[in-house]
Amino acid sequence: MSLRQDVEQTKGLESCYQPGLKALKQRDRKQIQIEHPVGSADVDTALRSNYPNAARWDYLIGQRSGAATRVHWVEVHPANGDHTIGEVAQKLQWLKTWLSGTPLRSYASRYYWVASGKCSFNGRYPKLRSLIQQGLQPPVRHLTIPAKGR
Amino acid sequence: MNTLTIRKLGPISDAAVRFGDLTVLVGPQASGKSIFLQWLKLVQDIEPIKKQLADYGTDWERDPSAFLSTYFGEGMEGTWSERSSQVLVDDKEFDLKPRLLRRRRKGTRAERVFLVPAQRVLTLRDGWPRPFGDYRSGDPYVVRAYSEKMRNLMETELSRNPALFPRANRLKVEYREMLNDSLFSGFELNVQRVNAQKRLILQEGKKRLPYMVWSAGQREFVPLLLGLYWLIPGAAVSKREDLQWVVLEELEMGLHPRAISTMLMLVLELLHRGYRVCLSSHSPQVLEMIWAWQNLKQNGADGGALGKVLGAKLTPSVRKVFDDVMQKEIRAYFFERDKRVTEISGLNPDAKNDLEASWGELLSFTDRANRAVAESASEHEAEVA
Repeated sequence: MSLRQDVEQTKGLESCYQPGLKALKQRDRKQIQIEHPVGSADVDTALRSNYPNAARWDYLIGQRSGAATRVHWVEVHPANGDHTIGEVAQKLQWLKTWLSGTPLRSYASRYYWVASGKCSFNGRYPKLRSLIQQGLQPPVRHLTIPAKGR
Repeated sequence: MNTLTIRKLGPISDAAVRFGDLTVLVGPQASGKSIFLQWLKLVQDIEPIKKQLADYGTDWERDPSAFLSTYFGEGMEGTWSERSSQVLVDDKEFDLKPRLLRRRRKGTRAERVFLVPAQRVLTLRDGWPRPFGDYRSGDPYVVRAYSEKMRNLMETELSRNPALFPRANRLKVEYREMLNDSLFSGFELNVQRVNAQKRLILQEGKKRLPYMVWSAGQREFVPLLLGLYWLIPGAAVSKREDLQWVVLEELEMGLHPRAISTMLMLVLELLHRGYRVCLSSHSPQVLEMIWAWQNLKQNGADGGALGKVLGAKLTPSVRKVFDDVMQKEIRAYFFERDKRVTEISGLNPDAKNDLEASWGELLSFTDRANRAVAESASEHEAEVA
């Protein structure tokens, strides 16, 4: 099965898979660079009607990694206060719960937070550590994912 | 002096440093930070340095190489090459040789730069500052001079009262409380006279602790405290009139983060009193304060916000210090052996320049730890699923 097929078999994402980074909103694309992207999906928009009140995650991006495909889950969100850490924590929690019931759970996944606007945290910020322990990379203004993964 | 440029001198390939009110130098060991800071003193205080060496009978026989060995310490004379080394002060060449060979005039002016060396812990032997002449001639001048100044201070201004800390007319009461909490834990620092000899002791009631049993942090801090007493003479006098610069090497040595915060507050006090301060540091906490300071300034926050960063008790007197220093200019530079020095003043975690984003590599370890833990957590989850 390809990533495209797995995305299309996921309830709510049937018709949102796009090649490369095309699924990303124009303003967000400027902040995200990834080598060898295979495809992407705007998860937030696609699941809005099924989960209107959920803290939905923004994007799925597939990357070719040797013979396999790796999935990067990217959230573009403000990073300017403790409340934003709480918001992203909720989103990550939601993403993982939702993901566990989809065919996409079988992919090697990475989780990223891209700061929309200025990032007010540095890597030493203690409250970020709990999110890092859950697998989220600390927020960055510009995300670059090389071919071998970040 | 606003800029100092040093090229091809020891490990320094090209260092062009524009000073702020506060300037911080970071970089690995032996990258030239200390040499740079000693030159900062030498270019401004060459006459008083020559005078002190002459007063103590150090004869360098008008040989620049012997002078450099005396000033920087044995074996360091080779860092300077007459042919290729270059030192510029505000873009004007600083000609070392003619200045060294120039005869001393009468009434040499007072020193402008007060340098607290990284080796300050060596200045106290058996709990008392060693005199200048007690050192070998190959020991760095800045260590000998600092030691002598502290000895002199103890024998004159501080000699009447055996209580050194806390001391009513030295440092604001708020700082004394912070120092007590973070460093002295209820002990007093006193001068004890044993027969004709004096020594520093930490005392709590009848319990007296001599120098050798103090904690590493206390041994590091007490020479610094004496330096601060010199720089902040008393309530009525804001600063030593002639001194313009304070150079403080590795203020964090041996100190817990709480005590580092107290030291940083004292650095702000020095800035408030009109000194320009230059630090070298290996502590992310020092850059963390500057990062917070710059961001707070940009966001229009007042001094109280910076006070909170340092855990200060914001009395009106301390608040005044923070409000004042918020306007000061701060600069930071990264030194690396045999490479051009990089300005990293922005400390922007998103900077395209990796050296600025990693705060001169001080965040590199944290960054690697963060990434490794996040990656392993996501991989572990996938395996469990």
